[in-house]
Amino acid sequence: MPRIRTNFAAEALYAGPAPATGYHWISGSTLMGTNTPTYGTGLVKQLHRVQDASYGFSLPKKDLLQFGQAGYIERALIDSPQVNFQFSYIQANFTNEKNLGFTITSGATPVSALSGFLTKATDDRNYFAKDTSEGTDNINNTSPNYVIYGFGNCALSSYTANAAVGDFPKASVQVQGLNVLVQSTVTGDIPAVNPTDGTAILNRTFALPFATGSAGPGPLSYSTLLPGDINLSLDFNDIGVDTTDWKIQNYSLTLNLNRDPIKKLGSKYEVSKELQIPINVQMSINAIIGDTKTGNLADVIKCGADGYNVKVSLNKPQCTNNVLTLDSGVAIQYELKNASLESENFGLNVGGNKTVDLVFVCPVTGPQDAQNGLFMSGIN
Amino acid sequence: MIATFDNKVISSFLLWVNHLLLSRGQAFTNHGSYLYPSNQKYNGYYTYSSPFSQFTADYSVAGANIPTGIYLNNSFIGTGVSGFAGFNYEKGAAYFTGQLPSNVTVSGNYAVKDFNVVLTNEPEEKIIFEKEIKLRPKFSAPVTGVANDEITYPVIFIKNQGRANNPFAFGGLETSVFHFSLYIFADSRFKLDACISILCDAARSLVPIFEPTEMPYNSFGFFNSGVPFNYNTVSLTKNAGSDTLYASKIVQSQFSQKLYSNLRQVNSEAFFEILDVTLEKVRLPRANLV
Repeated sequence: MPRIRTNFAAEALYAGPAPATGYHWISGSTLMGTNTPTYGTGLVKQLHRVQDASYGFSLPKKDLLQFGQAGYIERALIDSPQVNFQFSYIQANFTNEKNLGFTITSGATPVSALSGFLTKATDDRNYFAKDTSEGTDNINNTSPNYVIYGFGNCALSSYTANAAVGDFPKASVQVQGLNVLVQSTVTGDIPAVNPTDGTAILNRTFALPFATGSAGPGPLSYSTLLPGDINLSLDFNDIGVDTTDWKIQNYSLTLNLNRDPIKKLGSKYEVSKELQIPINVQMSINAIIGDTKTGNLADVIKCGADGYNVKVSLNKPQCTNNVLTLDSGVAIQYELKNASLESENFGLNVGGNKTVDLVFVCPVTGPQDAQNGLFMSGIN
Repeated sequence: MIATFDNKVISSFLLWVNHLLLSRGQAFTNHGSYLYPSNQKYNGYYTYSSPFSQFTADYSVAGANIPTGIYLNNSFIGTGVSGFAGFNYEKGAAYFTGQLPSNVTVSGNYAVKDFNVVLTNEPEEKIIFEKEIKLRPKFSAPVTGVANDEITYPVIFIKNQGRANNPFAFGGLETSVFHFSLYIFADSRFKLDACISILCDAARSLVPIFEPTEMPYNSFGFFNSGVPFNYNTVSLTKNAGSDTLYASKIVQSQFSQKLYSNLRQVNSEAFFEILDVTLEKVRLPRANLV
């Protein structure tokens, strides 16, 4: 029966392994291009708790005109197509971030969250959107009726994580790619193309796992993390703000991975999307202030406004009414080390409370630097 | 018909409210009294009722005297002896398989709840204005057992005000939202304020979902399968992600003085308030649909 419409319940998003042109199957420790014979495990992972998604492409064309003719001779495609894919999700763990290519610290030694992007180990990948039949849920749907949108050669261009009083913690992601492949089989050729000539990548297939409600059992099954379980610690007690007495209303962590497209004659596509250095991570914090602290901006300037550590911890949900005390501890954690203060603004209006907006910027250094930059740890 | 998700939610919420008041507010009183023969036979059992409605039967409540047996002529017996079948803790009654001789006195030690908690489906106006509930026990009258269908206050009526499924995320995840009203009748302002304080402070906490096999009582009101009920023991087995509801809102409703005065005409000795509770759970509601 023809599909009349597709609603959110019928769609699920997935992220493939890196690199985008690489293997999408593994058998033991052996990566495979195709699952033949059928004994491998697919490496495409579902993205959970997705709230919205938009995707499309644009073809940058140039008009070709000549004397003697008002209209253009041709609108030539002389630049690489721009595929855009963006989505947002509610945060319950760092599984999505891990599948996007972030490095989640698991041991005692912190590792830069962007180390995979910097070393190109986890930089570009393919993304997929699967739509099941009208009126059905995608989760736990084993029906063979679906449409797959594949987005090839995608590189992360923006990541934002934020939380506010009265709302769930969320993350928003933007990626840019080179190709779109729409097919109706759950297995098929990967949507990546050879950047040099746009040809399909041979002997590289993928398969989408059936969508599930959670990334896994136990802590991976949390629906979401709650504003009441968020702690933000900041070793900043300079001008006007006593951070031991402030009431944080929201925070926003923004990471823009600006890309420098590398092109060459003889190729219709960008050969590569290289990261523009330096990369800065920005943390914005809005809080209602209580007690204030004396300070002098001149002293801050004299001594420099650097070297602050910001840590945002989203704890596991637990009940503390002596009834349900299960897992305790951190579900996900962002840590900015050696951030510098960029701005501090106070605001007050009739009927409101006095607030402060602080903006910190932290440079991302090399992947081996454990003292500076953005670090992410938690359930994944 | 098997128990569905809504059945589990309503039952779990009732147990949670009970446990909150008993554990946080110590809303129970250890007491000992005679149990009086009731003219009603319940499912073939002869009923001997206390002057109170509900006994505390949660072993996680510290200090509560939970009866395990009964005294016949001041001799303690357990279940299965002399026809004693067990306690209906929710009714505050003991059941016997046969009628006891008139010269036998039945007594027991128990912990009576300061607030009886019951489910109701009656309209709001009937609960507030038309239901005459009796203070337990009325010392101006001869002390006797509470009848099986009689409701005494202090009492909390829990009423399901409806539910809905709202979209939550791609793939079919939805938030099931449940609305409850708690009609609280107390015999003193102090007790009423204490009850409201405990319940309102529980906003934004987790409510464990109990399976039918984990419910405390069987159809007779005895412990399920004879296993003493411990709320904490069962709730600690619950996963915060998949086995709990989130109490997103617990607020007290405001009423006009005229409503209070109308209420006093029906229940002159009761102090009354209403709490509105919202519970939420992210789930796959269509997962088991064929």
